[in-house]
Amino acid sequence: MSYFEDASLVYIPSAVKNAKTYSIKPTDGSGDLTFSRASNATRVNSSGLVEKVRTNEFIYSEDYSTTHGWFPSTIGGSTVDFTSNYGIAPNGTTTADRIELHINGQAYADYVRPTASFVVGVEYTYSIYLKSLSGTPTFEFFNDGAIGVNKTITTDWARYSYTFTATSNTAYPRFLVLASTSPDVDVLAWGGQIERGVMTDYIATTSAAVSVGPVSGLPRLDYSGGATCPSLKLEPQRSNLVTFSESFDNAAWSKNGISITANNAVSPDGYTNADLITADGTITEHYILQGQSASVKTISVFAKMGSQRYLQILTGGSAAALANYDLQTGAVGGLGAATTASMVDYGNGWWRLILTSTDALTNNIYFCFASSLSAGRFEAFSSTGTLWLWGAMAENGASYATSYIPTLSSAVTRVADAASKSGIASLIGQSEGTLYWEGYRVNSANFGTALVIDDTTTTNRIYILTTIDGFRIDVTSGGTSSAFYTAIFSEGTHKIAVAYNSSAVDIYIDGVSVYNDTSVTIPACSRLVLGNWSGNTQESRTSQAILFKTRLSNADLATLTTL
Amino acid sequence: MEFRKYELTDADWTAKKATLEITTEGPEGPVTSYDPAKVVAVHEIGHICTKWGEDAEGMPVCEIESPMYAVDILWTDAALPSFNANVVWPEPCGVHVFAGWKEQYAIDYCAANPSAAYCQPPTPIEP
Repeated sequence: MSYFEDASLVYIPSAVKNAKTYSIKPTDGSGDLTFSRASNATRVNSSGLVEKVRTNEFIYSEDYSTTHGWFPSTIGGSTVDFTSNYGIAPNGTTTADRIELHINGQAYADYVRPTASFVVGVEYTYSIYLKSLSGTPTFEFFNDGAIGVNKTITTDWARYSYTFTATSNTAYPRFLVLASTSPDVDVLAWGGQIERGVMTDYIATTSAAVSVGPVSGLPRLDYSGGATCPSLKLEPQRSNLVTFSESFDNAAWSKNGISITANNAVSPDGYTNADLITADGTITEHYILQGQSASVKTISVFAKMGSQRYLQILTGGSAAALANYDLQTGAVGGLGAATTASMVDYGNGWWRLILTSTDALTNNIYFCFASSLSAGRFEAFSSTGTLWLWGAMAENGASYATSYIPTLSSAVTRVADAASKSGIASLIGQSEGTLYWEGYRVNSANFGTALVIDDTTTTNRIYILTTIDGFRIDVTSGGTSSAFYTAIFSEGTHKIAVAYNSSAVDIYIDGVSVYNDTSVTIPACSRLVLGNWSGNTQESRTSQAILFKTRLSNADLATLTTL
Repeated sequence: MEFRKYELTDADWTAKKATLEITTEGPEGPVTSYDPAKVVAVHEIGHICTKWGEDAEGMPVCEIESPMYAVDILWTDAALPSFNANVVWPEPCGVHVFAGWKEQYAIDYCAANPSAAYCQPPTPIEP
C-alpha cells in the first residue's frame, strides 16, 4: 500500500506564508492549516543559524528625494543638487540617486533627513552604499545626535556603516561637507539601512520599515539539532526578562573581575555580534550579573570557549540553582539541589547553556568563570581566560528553555503559536480512521498538544498530548472517555499512530503496540489541531501529521511508527 | 489587535482578570485560561520597582515597588471599555513589549500623547 495515496490529509512542514502552513495533501488547499502567532519570534534556519527578525527602519531606503523628508540645508551661496535614479545601483538597477554638494566659498553644504526613532542606550547601525563620481571626498555621512561621523568615499561602490549607542532619540543620515575638510562632493547613494545591533544584510524599504525573518503570523519551520528536514515549531507564550540580551557591555549588566569587548566574534545568528569576556588576571570572582525577579525559573545563554573552559550559571541568594558547564566537552556538573542543566550544541564551538530550577530563585543571575566542572559558588581564582557570550535569556515560570527571544532595553514577550484547520469533517474518518503524528517531545511541567481532532469543543475529541514525562492519548465522545492511555516516554523524536473503528482503538508508539481497547465510541470530529489545544500550549515540534479515513492494519501501524 | 498597558490595584486586577478568562475541560479537569475571543496574550509585569538600591555586597535590589500592578494586554480586537480607566502611557523606551509591537506602541503613544517630547519632530544640528 501507499500511505500517501491512502491518506486524506498529509502535513509535512515544507511551505508557509503569513497565517498559513501548507499541507501537501489534499492539493486543493482544503487541508492547509491556519496559523497564528501575534508576535515576532526566532527559529533555527536551514543553515543551523538562529534566525531573528531584522528590521530596516530607514524608510525609502533607495530614494533620497525631498518628497521623503530629505532637504538641503545650505548657507549663503552653498548649494545641493539632487538627481533621482541617476546611476546603476549595486543591485544592477538604475535606482542610485546623485547628490552634489557645492561649497561655493561658504562654510558648509548639507543634505539631511532627521530621524527620531532611536531608543537611548540601544546599539544601532546606520549603513548606506556610496560611490563617488569625482575624486575621493570626505564628508559627514551620519550624525548620531552628538557625534558627526566622517567617511572617505571611493569611486567604487562600497557599503559604509557606523555602529553607535543612541544618546538621544534623534540622529541624522546626512551628506554634510565642510569647506575645511573636503572640496565639493558628487556621489551616488543607495540602500540606506538603520537597524538595531550590528550591520546585517540589506533590506529594501519604501514608505514604512520592513522586517524579515520569523515575523508575527509567520509559521516557523525549525531545523534545531542539525535536522535536515524541518519541523513546525509551536511554543507557549514566554517572556525574556533579561534586558540587552546580546549586549553584555551595556550598563544593564554589572561586571566583576572581567572586561567586555563588544561585537568581537560571529555568534549563533551568523553576524559578528558576540561579546568577548576576558578575566582580569586577579584572584577574584569573575562574573557578570543582572538583577531579576524571584519568579525566574529557566536561565540560558549561548557561550563559546576561548581560553576559558568552564562557566557557571547561578542565582543570588540560593545554593540550589547552580550548574557548571564545560565549553570544551559539553558536560555539565556541580549541579545544585534543585537544578537541572543541559548544553545544546549550536555548531562552530557554540553551546546553549540551560539551567532550570524548581527553587524559588532570588534576584540576580550570574554568569561566572569557574576553574573546574565541580567548582562551588562564586569561585575566586586567578584567570586571564576568555570566552564569548551571546543571547542571554531568563524565562519566568518555565520548566524548560524555549527559543531565544532577543531583547534591548526592556523585557519582551513572544506570544503562543497555534495551528489548526476547521471544517474538514470530510478529511477525518468519522466511523473509522487513523491519526499519525511524528515529532519531538519536550519534557515540561505542563501539557502540550501534539495532534488533536475535535468538533471545536472538548466534548468530542481524540487527542495526543505531551505530558510532563510522556504522552497521553484519549478518545472522548459526548463528554465520556472510552479510551485512555498515558505512559512515560523520553524527550526526543517519537512516532505515534492511533487507529480506530467501531470495534476497537489501537495505539502504536515507536513501532510497538501499547494499547488496545475493544469498547469504544468514536466521536464526530471536524477540526485538526497541532499545538495549543484547549490551553495545552507546551512546545511541540511536528515533523509529520497524517490523517487516514481508514483504520490501518496493525502491521501497517507498526511499520508506520517504527523509528 | 490592540496593544495597551495598564496599571491597576491588586484587587482590581483580580476582578478584571476574571472577566478575560474562560474555563474549558482539560486532560486533568477544568482548565482556566484567557479567552481567545477577547485577548491574544497577557503579560503580568507586576509591581514595578520605582527605586533601586544596593545590598551589602553592592548588588542591585529593589527598595520601593509601585503599589499598582502593571499588566500588558494584546487584545484580540479592541480593548474592553472596562479597562479604559486603567490605561497608562509610559514613554516607548525601556518598557515591556510583545515581540514586534514596539513600533505600533510608539505610534499609539504619539496618537494619545501628541504633545509629548518623544513625539516632536527633530531639527538637525548644523555646524
